[in-house]
Amino acid sequence: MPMKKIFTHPFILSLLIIISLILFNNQGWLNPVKNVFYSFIVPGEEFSYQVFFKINKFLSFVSSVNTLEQENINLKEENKILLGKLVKLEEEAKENDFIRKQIDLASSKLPLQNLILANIVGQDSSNLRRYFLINKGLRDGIEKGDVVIISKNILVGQITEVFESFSKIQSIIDSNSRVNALIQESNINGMIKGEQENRLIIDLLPQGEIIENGQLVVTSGLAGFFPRGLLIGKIDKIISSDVQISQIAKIKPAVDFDKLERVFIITE
Amino acid sequence: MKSILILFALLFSVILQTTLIPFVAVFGVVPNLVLVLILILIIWKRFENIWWMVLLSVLSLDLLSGLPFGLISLSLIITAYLIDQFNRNTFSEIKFWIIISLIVSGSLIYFISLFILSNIFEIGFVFSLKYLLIEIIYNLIISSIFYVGAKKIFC
Repeated sequence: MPMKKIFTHPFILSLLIIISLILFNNQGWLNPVKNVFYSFIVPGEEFSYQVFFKINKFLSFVSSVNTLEQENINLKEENKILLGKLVKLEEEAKENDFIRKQIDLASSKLPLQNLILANIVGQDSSNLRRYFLINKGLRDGIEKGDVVIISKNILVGQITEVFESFSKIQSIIDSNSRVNALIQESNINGMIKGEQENRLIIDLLPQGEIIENGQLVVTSGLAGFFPRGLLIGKIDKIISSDVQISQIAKIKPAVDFDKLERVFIITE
Repeated sequence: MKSILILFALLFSVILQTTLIPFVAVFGVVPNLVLVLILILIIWKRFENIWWMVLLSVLSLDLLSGLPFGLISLSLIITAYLIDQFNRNTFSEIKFWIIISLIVSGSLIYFISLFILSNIFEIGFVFSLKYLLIEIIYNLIISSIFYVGAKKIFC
């Protein structure tokens, strides 16, 4: 086959175009094109996602009508327990404030944080990743590495790519995600990893430590990627074996990743 | 006119893949709408007639993915071409069972391409036979729905 014919063959031509674009992308030369693409596609994506989100929400509601009564009773019980904890925490916060004032602990102030509200406009299209796409980007003050939460300091993930009006979030349930965490009640440190089916596991828990179902897992702040104290989830099942160096536990995430509509991005 | 319709259908499937499909996940596994549509179009229309439309749609899908840029495009283009060659050299007419077997083959080739390219791109690839089977079954269900519609619209 003559050389000219090889390069005009649709398959070879397609491969050459893609490989060239990968090289351009690695140099950052594709960013203007990506910005134009996202500015066109994001409004359509947002509309489409919101429509399907609402349909899904309605269908979930219809299918869960039978279990609503029991769920309501459980939630009321949980609410009472949480109210008790809240009162105790408020008292401790007052006491904490008083001690801070007494010893003039200016250095302990947290850095000023801004929250940016963003709409989810889509999700990753492959079964290999759990990414979310949002309608805010560089022009809104978002930067790579910013932490993403939902209300009440519940961790969702981290910004991995930012464009003018669009960003990608790597959620904590992504198989490549790693978060330093600790079990709140016992201060035992571990490492959170994403798993299939919207679940998490906490690994590297020291052997011999007592871990119980229902204990809360929060970010530890180690490594500095995530601030300390963001809620990740509850311990669901302990997978402990004496032959392993560390213990592993399954975690039920605090975020329902199937029902994510809006998120907050923490920018400093 | 048909080319515009095909291009529109492909780009629309890209939007649906990132907006509708995540809501129909079973055990965290979603079907690959874009792959199924590309394979059905390749079977009816041949790769050389629609390659540039396929290329545009796979690049769009890549831009909306969390995977490194180019990984999905390369995998889908390789799959589309190989299925076109396989179909052309093996089958003389288009029947429903042929479509089904080509969708299964396409899903497997796509998976193997992704696996090989993931290693080249040095990204983690979690293999699970259970999830692969669910995806193939899901793709077959989607292709059965598409088959009749695609036949009427594009042929």
